Amino acid sequence: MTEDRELEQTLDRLSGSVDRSGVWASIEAQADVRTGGRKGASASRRMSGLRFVAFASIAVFLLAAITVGSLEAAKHLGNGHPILVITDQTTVPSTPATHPVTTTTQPVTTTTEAVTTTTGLEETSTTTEKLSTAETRLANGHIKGMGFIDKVYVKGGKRYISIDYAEYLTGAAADAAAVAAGEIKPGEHVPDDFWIQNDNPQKRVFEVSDSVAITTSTWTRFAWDKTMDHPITWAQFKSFWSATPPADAIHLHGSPWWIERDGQLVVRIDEQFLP
Amino acid sequence: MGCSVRADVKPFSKTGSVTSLNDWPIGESGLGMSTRYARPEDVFEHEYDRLVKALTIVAGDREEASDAVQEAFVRLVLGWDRLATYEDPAGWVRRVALNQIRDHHRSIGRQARLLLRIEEQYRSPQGASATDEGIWERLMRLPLKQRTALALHYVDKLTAREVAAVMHVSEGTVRQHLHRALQTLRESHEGSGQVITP
Repeated sequence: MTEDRELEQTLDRLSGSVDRSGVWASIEAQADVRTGGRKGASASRRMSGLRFVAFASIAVFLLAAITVGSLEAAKHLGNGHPILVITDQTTVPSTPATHPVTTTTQPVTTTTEAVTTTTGLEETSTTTEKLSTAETRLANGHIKGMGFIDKVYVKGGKRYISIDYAEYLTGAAADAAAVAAGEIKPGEHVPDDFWIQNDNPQKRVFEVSDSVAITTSTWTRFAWDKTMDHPITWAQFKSFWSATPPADAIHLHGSPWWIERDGQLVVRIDEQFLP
Repeated sequence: MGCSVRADVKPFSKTGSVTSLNDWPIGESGLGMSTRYARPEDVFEHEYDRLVKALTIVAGDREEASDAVQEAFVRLVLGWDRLATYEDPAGWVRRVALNQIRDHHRSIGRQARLLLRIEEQYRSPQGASATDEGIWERLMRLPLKQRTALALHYVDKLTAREVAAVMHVSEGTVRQHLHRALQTLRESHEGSGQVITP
């Protein structure tokens, strides 16, 4: 106990004395600025509204132009002219084509054997997506990746998340990455056998399905239950990123989360447990 | 979740009298008392100094700790209507401030953080004695989790159970963090021949 008290005294001395003069006034002023920002936002909201109308008008015009162009193209292409489908993508198509479509990595000029011709518009070209290094494609065609979610919001009635992908490494890969980062020496092992590599700060925004399945592993309200992966609702999940999250979930906005998406639509979200 | 990796709590091997956490009565801490605050400034009045001191040890930097605690108090003021109903608004402030520090550390790239850490290790408090500078360096070399447990327990005066609740780990894990931290401090003390208390 004496040792504990001595350590307390040492840490107390090292952490120094606290000067709180003017601090509370500064806190109140900052809070006022943020509240005032909200109150005074009506004018800027009106401007935003006008901008929105302008952009929407342009978007409607472009959409109409594309529609007319497409209809004209359909009329033209439907007259028995062949359609040539050429792609130089090498990744696996995310959506199976309704008809076989051959892909080739050869330049366009050498694709004489690697093309498909059809006589109608029913041919569907493939849409291939280059995956991030933090993503993997699952057997069911879904794409899975882990990262740190910085925004969860609803816009225009649709749900969205913004995620900063990271790589979850274990074993030798984790050790190698930690050595490369200079956090451990060669021959040492990372604590708890995992390492999260997050070199790319790029954020990606995905729409979230209305029927998304979400689970958490460290929400303390489930601490009585030793099992992992507790299902939670979208509203609970969204509250983690609110200004005043639940007191027992304050850490969850900073946890790493796995997302699984079907195309651009997120269908599953799971918290990654960190020891 | 198929990808969950749970390195569950390892058994705590208590050796000697490295720490006497069991002797600490729960009522001594702020969380245990669950003080009712009428206004956010009351929370500030009672908790600010202790939080800044504890988080200075965690962050290794007084300015960063002050910023994190002040930002947490700004959010407390903004959300007071709701937060006033919480059982422990001070605990909420503590977690928000700790998250700020954790996010700050995470946002810095690994390489940059390494450089900063090297610098931080030698940025000891102003006016510190040579002995204190040595202890400070060793403290800053401790892993963040161990340092957090140490600061919350010995400076913020939380019990191991309360530290566990704040850090979202088991009580056994907290004891393990404290045990390892104290052991490291002791070993480096024995190696250096300097006078160090733990």
